[in-house]
Amino acid sequence: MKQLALQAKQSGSVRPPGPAVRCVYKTLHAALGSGRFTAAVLACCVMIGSQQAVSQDGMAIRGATIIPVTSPRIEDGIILISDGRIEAFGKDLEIPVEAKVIDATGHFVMPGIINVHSSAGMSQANEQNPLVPFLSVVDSIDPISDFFVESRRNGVTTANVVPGNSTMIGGRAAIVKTAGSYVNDMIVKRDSGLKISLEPTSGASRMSHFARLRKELEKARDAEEGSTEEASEKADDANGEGDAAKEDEGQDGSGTSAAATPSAQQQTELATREALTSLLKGEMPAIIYCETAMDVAQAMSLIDEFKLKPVLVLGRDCYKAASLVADRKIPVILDSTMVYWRTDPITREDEKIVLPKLFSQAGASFVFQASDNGTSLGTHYYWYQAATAVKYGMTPDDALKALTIDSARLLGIDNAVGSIETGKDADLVILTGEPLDGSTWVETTIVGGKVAYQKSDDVRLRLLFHPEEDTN
Amino acid sequence: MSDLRHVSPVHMLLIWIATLVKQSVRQIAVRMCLLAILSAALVQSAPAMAADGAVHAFFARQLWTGASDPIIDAVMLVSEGQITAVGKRGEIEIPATAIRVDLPAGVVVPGFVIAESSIGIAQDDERTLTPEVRAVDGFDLFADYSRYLSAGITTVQISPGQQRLMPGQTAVVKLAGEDPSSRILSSTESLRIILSRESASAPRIYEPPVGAVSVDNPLDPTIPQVSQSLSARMAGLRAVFAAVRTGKQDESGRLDLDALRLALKSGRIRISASTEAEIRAAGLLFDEIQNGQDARLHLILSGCDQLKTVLQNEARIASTGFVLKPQIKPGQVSNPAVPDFDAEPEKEIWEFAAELLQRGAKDAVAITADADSDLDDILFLAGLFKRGGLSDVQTLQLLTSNPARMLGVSEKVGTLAAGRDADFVVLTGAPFDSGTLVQSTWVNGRQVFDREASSRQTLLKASSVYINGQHQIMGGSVLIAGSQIRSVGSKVSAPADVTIRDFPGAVIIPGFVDLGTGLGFGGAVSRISLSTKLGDRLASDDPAIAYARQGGVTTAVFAASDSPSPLLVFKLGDKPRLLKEPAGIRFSMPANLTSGVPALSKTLAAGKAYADAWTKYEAEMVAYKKAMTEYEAELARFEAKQKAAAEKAAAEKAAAEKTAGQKTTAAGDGSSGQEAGKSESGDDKSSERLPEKPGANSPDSNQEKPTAEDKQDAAKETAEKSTAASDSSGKKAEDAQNAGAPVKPAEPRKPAQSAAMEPYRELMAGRIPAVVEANDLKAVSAAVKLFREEFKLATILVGAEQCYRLADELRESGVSISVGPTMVRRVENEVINLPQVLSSHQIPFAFQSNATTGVRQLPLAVQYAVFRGLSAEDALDGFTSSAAELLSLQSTIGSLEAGKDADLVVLSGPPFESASEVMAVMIDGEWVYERGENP
Repeated sequence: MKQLALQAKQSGSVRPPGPAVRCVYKTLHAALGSGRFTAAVLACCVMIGSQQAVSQDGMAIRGATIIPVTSPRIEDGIILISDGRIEAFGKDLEIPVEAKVIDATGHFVMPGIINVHSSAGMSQANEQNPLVPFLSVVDSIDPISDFFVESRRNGVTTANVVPGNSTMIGGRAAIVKTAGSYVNDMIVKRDSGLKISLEPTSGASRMSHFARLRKELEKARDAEEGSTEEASEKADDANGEGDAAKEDEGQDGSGTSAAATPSAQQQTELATREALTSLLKGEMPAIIYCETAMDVAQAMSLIDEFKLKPVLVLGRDCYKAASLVADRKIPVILDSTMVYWRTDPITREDEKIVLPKLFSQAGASFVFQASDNGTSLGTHYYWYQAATAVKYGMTPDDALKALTIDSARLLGIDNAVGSIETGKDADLVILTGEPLDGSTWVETTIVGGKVAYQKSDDVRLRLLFHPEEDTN
Repeated sequence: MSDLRHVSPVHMLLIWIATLVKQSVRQIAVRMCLLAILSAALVQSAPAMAADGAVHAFFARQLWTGASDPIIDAVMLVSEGQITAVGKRGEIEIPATAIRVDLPAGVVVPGFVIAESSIGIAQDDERTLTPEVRAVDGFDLFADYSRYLSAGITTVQISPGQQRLMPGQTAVVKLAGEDPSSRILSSTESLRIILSRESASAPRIYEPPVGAVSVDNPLDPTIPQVSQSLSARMAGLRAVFAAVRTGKQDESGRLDLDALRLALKSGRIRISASTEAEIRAAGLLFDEIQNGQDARLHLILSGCDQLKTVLQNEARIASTGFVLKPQIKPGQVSNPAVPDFDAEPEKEIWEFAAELLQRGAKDAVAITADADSDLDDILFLAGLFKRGGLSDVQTLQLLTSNPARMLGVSEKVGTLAAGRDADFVVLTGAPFDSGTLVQSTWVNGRQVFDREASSRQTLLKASSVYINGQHQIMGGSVLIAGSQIRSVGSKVSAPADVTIRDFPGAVIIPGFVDLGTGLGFGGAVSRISLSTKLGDRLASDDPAIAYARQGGVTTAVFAASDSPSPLLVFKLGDKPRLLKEPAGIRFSMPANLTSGVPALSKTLAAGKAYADAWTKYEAEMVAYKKAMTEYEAELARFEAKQKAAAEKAAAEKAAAEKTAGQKTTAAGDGSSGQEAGKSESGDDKSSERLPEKPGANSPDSNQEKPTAEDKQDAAKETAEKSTAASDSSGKKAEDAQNAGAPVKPAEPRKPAQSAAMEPYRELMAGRIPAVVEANDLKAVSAAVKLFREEFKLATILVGAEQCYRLADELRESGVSISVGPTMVRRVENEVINLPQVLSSHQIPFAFQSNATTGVRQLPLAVQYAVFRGLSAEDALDGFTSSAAELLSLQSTIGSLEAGKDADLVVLSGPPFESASEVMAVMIDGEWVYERGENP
């Protein structure tokens, strides 16, 4: 019955509307009551649950134009999926009898988009406390939040959830898949980075902020150097704890065997030190937020001084320092506002700032970031960001790479996701048309070999276009 | 349930990914290291690449090295952002490949170094002792510092704060430069301590602060950080330095002793102290800090305004740097405290500076402004130190080499010598001369600021300025703003950034006016009638005009040969600017006077009739407008009166109705009683409605009472009716009510308009002249009789070569003569210099060339007349102011006066002298010709 229903809907009763209608959808989204949404979300979960059983036996996508990103396009190709991975892809492959076949004739398949930096999907982006490296976003990720629903609807299959930009040393980030009922199932990479913000908070001056930041890092470095000189058994203890912390899957009580239970204060201090040590050892990247161009220069000095493994998240005014990051070949995540007007303070002349253009002129490599703010139309969508870059001179292929494999490389997860390659996770998006075309819709989003989003089952989308169906 | 089944494979996958990630992380780390090394190498070579490795040779009139007397006619070689040689031109070998840069303004000084500022630092830290805070962290390399660069400041010391006891470590940075890393000259210049009163008002804070982890700490009330008194501040600092010596932390544990120890390694303690007590305390404190140190520290006293105590201590003078801050805001007035007249008079800060320099603090005195905003005027503030008897070189050192040495950056900046950074400033004059401005600022051999002529004002200087033929100013100047002359005089005030053009030995005269040319249309224009409009057809960029104006003629009259035809006056700019059209009417006296003169007279009479009709109409219009105003006032009065009467009538009727209503009520009629009851409530509505009720009885009265809404329309109607009534006599009389309404005046009839006749209105009114071509004597007499005596026109005779014979008559008749192109002729062995004759007879005259490109030679022709006896002054008047007057344009052209158009000629000598040549011509404020330049 369900299959029939699906086919009936796929047969073209829902016409793909343009981007403007999607915007309307956002407004509707905000306007509708929460009760109705809970129902919608539940329906979504049920859908995911029911289809997992099917995917056990493998899946095949047939007839679509495959955009593997890392290799040339394949027209009318076949992708075979089993055990959540891409088993094979190409032309004229034999589809196993037991595989569930998705007929995507005339559609396009590309790897799922990677949300490279987002503070949504967790309960609260920033802490009041300026120094919280002991926190991890894993503890606050809400798998059924709108963020993940919205991600799947827009073809985002992986998200790097990072603490906000307004905490000096924020918590540890985590990379998760956008589909799943339990956070632990969704995690791709725990501790994917430690967030450091160079924007002064709570009324401090830049100097004080920076002085404090450096002091904390120096303290951690001194402690680390001290600990290596100390007796080895102590170091072993620390390592043991560290490993436990890294590998634990929610079993926080592993350290309780110690004779003297440390106080809450000591525990947080220990966790802080551990996180900073991992940062200074280069095990955990430093995700450094730079608000202004001068922060970029400061970030460089921090990177040099503490030998950090950096990922730079740049505010929009950082374009002035584009050559700095280009010279150093440091991975850069652009601000979500990529095009804006700036008024020169002296001449009062208006100047159009186009970030992707300026950064590529400087020779810097960069990926896009979508705004977390759902009310900002356009920049909220990765499609839009990529299309904007294309408008200002980027090739469509490069733009798609930036959305997928470049972002995966930046996050260090390119061996698992970011392109259609044999052995990689089956995170795929089936599109009704060319990826960056304004009239293209996400037809199906597949996360880990499971259909995580189906446009025909998108209750909210249907209600948006057919409000008369909303009878109850 | 299905989710749980999938936990383990997902987990496995994760672990597998994690191991892969770990491996790749290590690879990336190795790569990053390599990249870091590579990029470091790139940064090193960046400046070299930026400067292209080329040698630049800068030529200057004067070069002040910042160390010694200025080098006159100097050259400075710059390569890769650094100076390679400085010296006199001719003594320095300039490589053949060097790129030559001429600095026309000519005076080069080192980029100014400011020994103390807080540029770019927005705020102080909350805490009062923060040795770990570094000013360099707050310095925005990408901000715009053009404000300071425009004042010639290239290097500044920056402080982390101004209002805390120990705000942190200062830095020395350049305000411009290609490579960000090379712009920071010193990131730990000194440890700053502020003993002056500014630091006494630190905010109260929570102590201990809210920690990183929110352990339940009951919040203590805020406590003051530092006491108000100087002794308490001293005690606090002593405790801090004692802690550094003993290594024992105070109980709060918040002071960063390591940072303080590190900061002391910079070797400099900068103590801000202004009063005597503070300076004494600063000395004590420094000595105590010094005692606990192995290395020798250097003290910098800043912000001092009293230095008597220090001056008694020879050792202190020799070992201390002084940053003086004159408490002067340029251009502002303050109320200082009244000094104690009995005490020894206080010295001015420049006297201290001079004394310090005398007493051995040879290189260690620098100055800064009281506030960062005053740093724009640092050149002015520095100039004041000359009052203390400092030489120009010494004063300049206060801004250059002294602060550089004090800040420990003298290896790079502060002087212009081989091996130093090519940071320099080009001034428009000697460093401390009045009016000297920064023309451009250069950092590492690159221009980072260039003063553009921000105001469109130009000051012309010459040895003599002729306002007109009669008045001249020796050693005068002319200030030109836009297209007009702003002022003329021997010493005119001008904005500081005015563009000055000095023409030594030259003479400036007003631009010449040629009263008859064929210029303007790129060729001949035929069949011109009075209705022809030529003004829009003036040709731009006409090479004939560009050539013609080289002689000094700036304004030309276009005259056609047709009669009558209009004259055009225009400027000879690249885009000719029309001044007046028509500027006159040209007539030719007919060859056959007998028949021609009456015909001409008829033409003029027709013109006069046309003009008179319009004059009459205009006079009538004036009367009509006056009558209309009176009529409107009258009408308003009348309406008010009428309205009052109507209201009165209505009120009377209402009263009558009321009594009638009462009567009917008494008779027992219920309905009308209600109506009457309503009317008693007495609102506007009922009073309006009331007259309708008895409408059946009196329909006439109903029409007469306009409601409030249409009252105005009605008034208009009545007014129109009344005029209609007055126009047509046979109409029946209006209502008795309208009797006495004012009569609208009749609008005068407009005469028919004719484009061909329009110029006559101007002509007959005397606003434009009649330019009459009369060749022989009889024609001249007839012309005078017809134009001057009969029609009383402003008359200019053209071509009247023999008019010298009638000079006396002409003078009496009041005509003017346009002479040219031939000025001097030989008649019966007698040389007749016509302009001279006219001038001698006080007959107004001007010049004309009747030429196109030949306009250029007209001044030469006039010069010949001068050679033959015409005075140069009269010639100049005839060529400028008289001509302007004849054209009724004396308010805009013809002389060099404030408010007139900037049309002038620069001559190499007095006008109309053989040796005088035209050097430059300006029209409407633009240079249109300069000798030696292609037009």
